[in-house]
Amino acid sequence: MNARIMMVLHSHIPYVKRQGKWPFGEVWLFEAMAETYIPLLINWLKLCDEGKETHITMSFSPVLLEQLNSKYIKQEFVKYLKEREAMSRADERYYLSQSDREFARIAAYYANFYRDIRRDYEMELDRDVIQALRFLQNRGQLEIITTAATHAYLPLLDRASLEDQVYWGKRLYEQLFSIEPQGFWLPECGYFQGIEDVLIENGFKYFFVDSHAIEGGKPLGAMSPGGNGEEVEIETFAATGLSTYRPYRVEDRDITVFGRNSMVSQQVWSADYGYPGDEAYREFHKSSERSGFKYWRVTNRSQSLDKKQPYDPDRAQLKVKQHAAHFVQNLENTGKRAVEMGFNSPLIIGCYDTELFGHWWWEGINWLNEVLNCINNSPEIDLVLPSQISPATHEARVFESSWGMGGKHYVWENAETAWMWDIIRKAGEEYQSLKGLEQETLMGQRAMSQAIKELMLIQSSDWLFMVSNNLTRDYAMKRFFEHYTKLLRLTHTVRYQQFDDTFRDWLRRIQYEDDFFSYL
Amino acid sequence: MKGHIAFCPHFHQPHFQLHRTREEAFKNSYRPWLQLLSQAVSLDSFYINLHFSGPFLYWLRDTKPEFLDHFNTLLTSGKIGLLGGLADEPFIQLSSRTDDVLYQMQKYDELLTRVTGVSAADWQGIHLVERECGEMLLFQAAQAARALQASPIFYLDAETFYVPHFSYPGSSHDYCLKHFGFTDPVAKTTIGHLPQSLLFFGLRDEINGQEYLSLPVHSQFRYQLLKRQSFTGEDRIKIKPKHYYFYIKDALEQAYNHVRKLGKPLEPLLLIFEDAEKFGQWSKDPQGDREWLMEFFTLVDKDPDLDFVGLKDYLNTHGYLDTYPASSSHSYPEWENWTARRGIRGVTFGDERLRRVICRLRDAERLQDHFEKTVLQKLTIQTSLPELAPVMQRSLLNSAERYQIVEKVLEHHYPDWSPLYRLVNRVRHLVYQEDPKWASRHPSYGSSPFYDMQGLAYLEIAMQVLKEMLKEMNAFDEEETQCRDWDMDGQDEIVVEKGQQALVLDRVGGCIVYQHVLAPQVTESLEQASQLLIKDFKRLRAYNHIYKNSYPLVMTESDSDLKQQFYPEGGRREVTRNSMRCAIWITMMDQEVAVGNFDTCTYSIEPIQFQDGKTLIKMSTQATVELVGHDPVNIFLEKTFIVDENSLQVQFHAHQDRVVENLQIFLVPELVTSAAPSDERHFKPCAWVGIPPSSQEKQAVVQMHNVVAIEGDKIRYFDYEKELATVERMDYLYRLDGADGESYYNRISYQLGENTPLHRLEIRPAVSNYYQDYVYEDQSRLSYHTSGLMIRPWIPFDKGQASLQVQATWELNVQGDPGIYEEVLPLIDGCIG
Repeated sequence: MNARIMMVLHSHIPYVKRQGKWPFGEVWLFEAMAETYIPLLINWLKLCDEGKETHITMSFSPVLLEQLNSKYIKQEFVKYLKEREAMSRADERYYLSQSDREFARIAAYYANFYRDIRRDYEMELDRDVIQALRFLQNRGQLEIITTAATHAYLPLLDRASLEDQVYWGKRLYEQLFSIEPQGFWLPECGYFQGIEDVLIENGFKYFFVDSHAIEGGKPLGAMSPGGNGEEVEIETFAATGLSTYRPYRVEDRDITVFGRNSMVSQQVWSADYGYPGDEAYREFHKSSERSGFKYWRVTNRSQSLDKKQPYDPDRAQLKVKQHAAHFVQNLENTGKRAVEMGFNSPLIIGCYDTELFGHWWWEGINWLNEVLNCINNSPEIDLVLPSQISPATHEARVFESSWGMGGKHYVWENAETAWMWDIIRKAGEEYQSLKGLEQETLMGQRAMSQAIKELMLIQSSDWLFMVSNNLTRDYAMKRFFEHYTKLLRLTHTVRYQQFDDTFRDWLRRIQYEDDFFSYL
Repeated sequence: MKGHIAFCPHFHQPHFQLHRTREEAFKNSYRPWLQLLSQAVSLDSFYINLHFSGPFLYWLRDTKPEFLDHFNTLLTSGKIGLLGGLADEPFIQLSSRTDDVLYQMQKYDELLTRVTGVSAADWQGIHLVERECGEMLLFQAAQAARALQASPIFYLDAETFYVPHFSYPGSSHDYCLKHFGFTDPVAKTTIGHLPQSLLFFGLRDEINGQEYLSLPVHSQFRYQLLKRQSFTGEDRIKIKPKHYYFYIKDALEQAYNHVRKLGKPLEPLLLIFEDAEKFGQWSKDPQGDREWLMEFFTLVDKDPDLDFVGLKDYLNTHGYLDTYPASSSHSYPEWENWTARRGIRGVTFGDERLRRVICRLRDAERLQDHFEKTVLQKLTIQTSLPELAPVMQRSLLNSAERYQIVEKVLEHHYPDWSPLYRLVNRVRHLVYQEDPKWASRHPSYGSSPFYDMQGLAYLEIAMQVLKEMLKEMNAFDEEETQCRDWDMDGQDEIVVEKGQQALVLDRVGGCIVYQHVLAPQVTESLEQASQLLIKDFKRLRAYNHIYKNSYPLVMTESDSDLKQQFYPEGGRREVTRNSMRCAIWITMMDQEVAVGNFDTCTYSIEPIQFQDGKTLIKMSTQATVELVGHDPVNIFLEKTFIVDENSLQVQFHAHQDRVVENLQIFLVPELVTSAAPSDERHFKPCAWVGIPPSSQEKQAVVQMHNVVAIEGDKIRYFDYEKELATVERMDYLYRLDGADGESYYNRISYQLGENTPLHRLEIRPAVSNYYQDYVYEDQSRLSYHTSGLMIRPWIPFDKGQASLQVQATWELNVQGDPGIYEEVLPLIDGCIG
């Protein structure tokens, strides 16, 4: 029997609508849309048109779906694309004037890229990403699952907030796709025993965890530098004798857990051994000071940024083909080995952040497309969706875990973020203390409705991650505090019923700023 | 935003196109076009600008009257505009005459008016062949247009308006840097060229006071049009109608916004130019293409910001952008994409075979010039200043209307010759048609000889007619044999025009570079020759049998085996194979090696002799050959060409200054012809070599190389070897199957001298590879029936010398009976019987 490949892509961008444009804020969403979501969708629509199978499992954070569906974002995105195209044309002219034809050619390449993304967004998708997702899901090409409403890191959340995150995540999915979601993506694969009960309560049938949560052993990347540069020792999980080659029913529960395969993850994710580090691929970390476009290739990972050579898209494309063929060959070999080990139709699950493809790894879109083509042509492996898997016959007890460094919660809970968890807990308590109270005024209802939005925004795992890794820390802290102070003012006003004109105007403003989950 | 689209498909089939090719295009493209137009004219905003090439229109008129009837009905919709052009789709800028542009445009006007009722005054614009234009052509075309009441509106490639100097200052293209050593500051600091977004407007220019308007054609919109399929295995780009619509609207919006920033409220125009055959014929899916185009038309129709327009209508309504095209001060670079920056002159003169066509045209023009001067002498120019009469006479000859003047004088003084003069001029024009100058093989390096060979067949008859008329006026004074620089390469050639043949001998390689033969009846009387032209040209016919009466025997293509490499990185000259080259080969260490460059070196010519009405041309060369393990040996080679009315004898004689023991040396002449079979309808040509019975007993080995096996649409090649009785004569027979089902053979016979000692005989295509490694392999490789035949007898040296005498004769329009031969060697597998 053929091995079955389950490709799971998890998509999330924090809520950035009207929360700054550049260098932090909406640009993150626009970059992900232009470089990842739209090219992926267009490729899949093409494959679908050619009669090929895509069979990808996709998770979208509700907060991302809301933004993709926003009229404001749709308009701003087209503006963004036009600006990028104009900037790359300006770069092209500049480099031509400097007789630098190599860079001029790359600039022209970017200009065409942004023009064609705009073409596809407007002409192929009619500015409606959700509609395309719905189409592909209805055609059986995609299985779309949901996750926590604002992508909160669930294992460390209080129970009520956890339930809200799961519940509202599900509700939004139903609003957009008109069906109930079957699968749930645990943000950062963050699992603790008991979370499955909340999922079961909300009707979910399956979720995903990292490989060590099933198999035990060392998580990927046993020793890694922590956020503050110190080395962190990684826990070794007890070997269980179980395997990610098959799905399991969580012990004594009626829900399936899928474990991601470490090999297929490492091959794509690893900075040291993974494909994205190839010398021909575009260098993510070096950008033009003029325009921000990336004109260089990795060249040599061990060399400094000033040694980078100009990027050559054609050369990179050749590597894409080689790497895709190599990856699929590995899948076939892994499948064969699993069969030899006694797994009938072994399951190989690759889980990735969607934004890895295109945004982080520029060539990743083409790579994934080649991979899908190769798998379609392979007689030995098949793509599979979770709904196509027969009910699990084996049980497993799953370790508390995540896919972050160290395999547990370190990335989100460490010395850098401890104070944030205090606030998150206090914010939760603050909201819960008022939740049960009936609001008699419309203003009070509006304020409470906005309060849960602010609470959920505070809970986004993104701020913790950014602070922990010292990435755009200022922006993360600003957002964290803004939402917290907004929540405090809302709850304070509700608690003391101090609804005046100033508050009304302020509420109107923050409703405009933090404008998501309209059905709340 | 309001933007306009001028859709300008170009319909073309060259003169002498094969029947099957035309019919296939008709079925896949031209008929579907009518269906598409019938549907499209019902859309409110639809308008289309069509250009029908002259050869295309002549063919339609001759064979598809129902198509034209239907088309003329559609014309009444008012949604179809027609573009003017040139009657024979020629690169007329290659002509030596100043009156040819007006003539071409006038003939096109007459034709289009006759066929569609649309005259020059109603043309929406003028199609210039391949948008290939130097300033001279633009000047002459604008002048001719005005003479015909047409508007001088041309579309030119957008690249025309860019000069690399401006686009890439500081690069190797920067003329300033190149000549003066610094980067042109103007190019860096000001807009030296029109930016892309301004190339969506009419642009006014003038040359020598002749004003005209040009509209840029953007190659990307050609490429994207109907891009429904992959061009290569790696190509996954497919453009949907809505994508195309998006790109167009986007470009128009940018142009619209840009021009407003300049304070000019013009509405932009995007011109889509493309070969009409892209619809249906390229894809072989007319239905899919039709749906694609209709979807695109409908998208435009629904968009209130866009509409389709006629070129002239647009310019009349919206005017032009008053930004002087920067390029005009640098002349108009000829379209670089396919001429590899050589321009059409570079392509034509850079390719030996194409240059010969032009050289023969120059001979015809010289003859016509002589004829016209003689005729104009009959014109009495009355003037009160008699000393001005000769000046006025010369002025008439330099006039753009020279042809009309001569025609009128002829009508008055030689009424019988007036139609003949018209035919002769018509034929000459037709030989300038574009396709053989660039068409099918490679964009940069010229192309197949097929169309040129037919053109030359008529040209030679036309020249015969001119000669006869001149003779009757007692004005023909050309020497039968001339020594002059015929091909403009800096060295004299020997040109012999004798009886049925015209022959050019080149000292380089000591070979025949051009040989054309006529049937005896053509050379016997003016009447016979004229009738042939009248039959096919009075009303230009689509299909003909001219090869029954006229055939170019040597007009071979360049052969990559003979290329001259100037330096290893590139830079080489292709050399044509030609006929009666001769090489010396030796056998060393079981290997055969050609020595001494006898086939390409320059020969010395002895004074030309005339004996018994024959012309004798003797040439010789010598080389010192270095031998491994031996002292060098001097080898002398002599060739004698004996040209008669209807035959050509060549004697080869080689000797060495001393005999080297155990060294085998061979004299290897190359008997070459470019003659080839054709089958217009079924593409199943037939050719073979017949060996008549021989009384001799000796054995000869014949090696056949690259014999063709046609398997469906594919061609396979194979070799074989055969032992025969000693060969005395070889008859090359090639069949010509016409479009109307008529079939006949032509024969070329090579009679070897008695008792010729033959080591072996090789028979192979004249040329196997063309621009090898510079073009795709399948473009480089010439299949048998387009590259003629080469026979190489290997004559061993005996006692230090070797000789061969060969007599070439020919007969056109024969039966081609294989039964009379002892041996028949097929050159195309399975074609006999």
